[in-house]
Amino acid sequence: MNDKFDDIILRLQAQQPTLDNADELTDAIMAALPDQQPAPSSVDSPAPRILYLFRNISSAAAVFLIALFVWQYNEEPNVIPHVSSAYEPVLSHELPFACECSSFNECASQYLAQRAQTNSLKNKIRKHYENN
Amino acid sequence: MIDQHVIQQCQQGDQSAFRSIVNSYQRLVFSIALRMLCDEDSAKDAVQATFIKVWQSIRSYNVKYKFQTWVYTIVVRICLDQLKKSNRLDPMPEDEARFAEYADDVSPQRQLENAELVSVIKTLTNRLSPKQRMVFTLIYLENLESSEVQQITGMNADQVKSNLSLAKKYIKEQLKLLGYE
Repeated sequence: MNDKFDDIILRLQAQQPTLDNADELTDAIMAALPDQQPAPSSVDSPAPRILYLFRNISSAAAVFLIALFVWQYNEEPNVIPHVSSAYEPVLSHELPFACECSSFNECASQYLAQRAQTNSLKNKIRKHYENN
Repeated sequence: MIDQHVIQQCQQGDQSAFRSIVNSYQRLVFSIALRMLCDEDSAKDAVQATFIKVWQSIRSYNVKYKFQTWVYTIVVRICLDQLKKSNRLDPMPEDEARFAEYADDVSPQRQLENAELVSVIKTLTNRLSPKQRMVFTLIYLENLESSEVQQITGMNADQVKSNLSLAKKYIKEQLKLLGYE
């Protein structure tokens, strides 16, 4: 079986098909040639162009966000958006201590610290009377 | 077979340079197409479709690949599509008669006519799938290396080997059915 298979395949390899009227076929091919497709280009192809555009927009957005962050961080607040009740005496100039502060934040911190000390003292006195 | 200068001329749209490519390769392309499709008219249509595709795509041809392999890739794909669309190539009684004459021939050097060649191949390979027929044609009939067949078909080595092994098995079974044990 193998011999017959090999024999037939070997003989078939030597059999070359003949192409009659090769010139006619060539002419038919040449007559049917359409326009060539443009060569692929990495710059002109649509996908990279979209990527370039996306990259530029992303870069601009990133720069804008960084600038916005820096500007907001450095800006001094000119209004106090919300004031808790703890700051009310400070705002109405009823300061329970001698104020030598240079800014609002420093003054408020000192006030809160003193108030915490006072509360602590009050708690100690309350505990003393409760125990006795 | 064709130097890079001619290919560059074709890439610039030179049709006379392309004519020399057609003249150089059309017999090779016709040979593969006829052996795969087993029909002379279909094979000539495949040759024409192949060269039109070569002309259209020649600007994207990568010079690091062998030009002949690139052309083979195009014709094989066109033939494979054609085989998938068409029904099985069932041999007629006259095909089997021609095959018997060929198999029993005492003068094996005789050159077959195209019709005889088609009958022999059709009778021998009628049980093969399109992919098995493609691999069988490229390796057994065109005598190409497995690595080149992998490049042309896009299959890996195992797929080529498996398709070839099945093709051989079916052809041997067909030979047995025809009385050649």
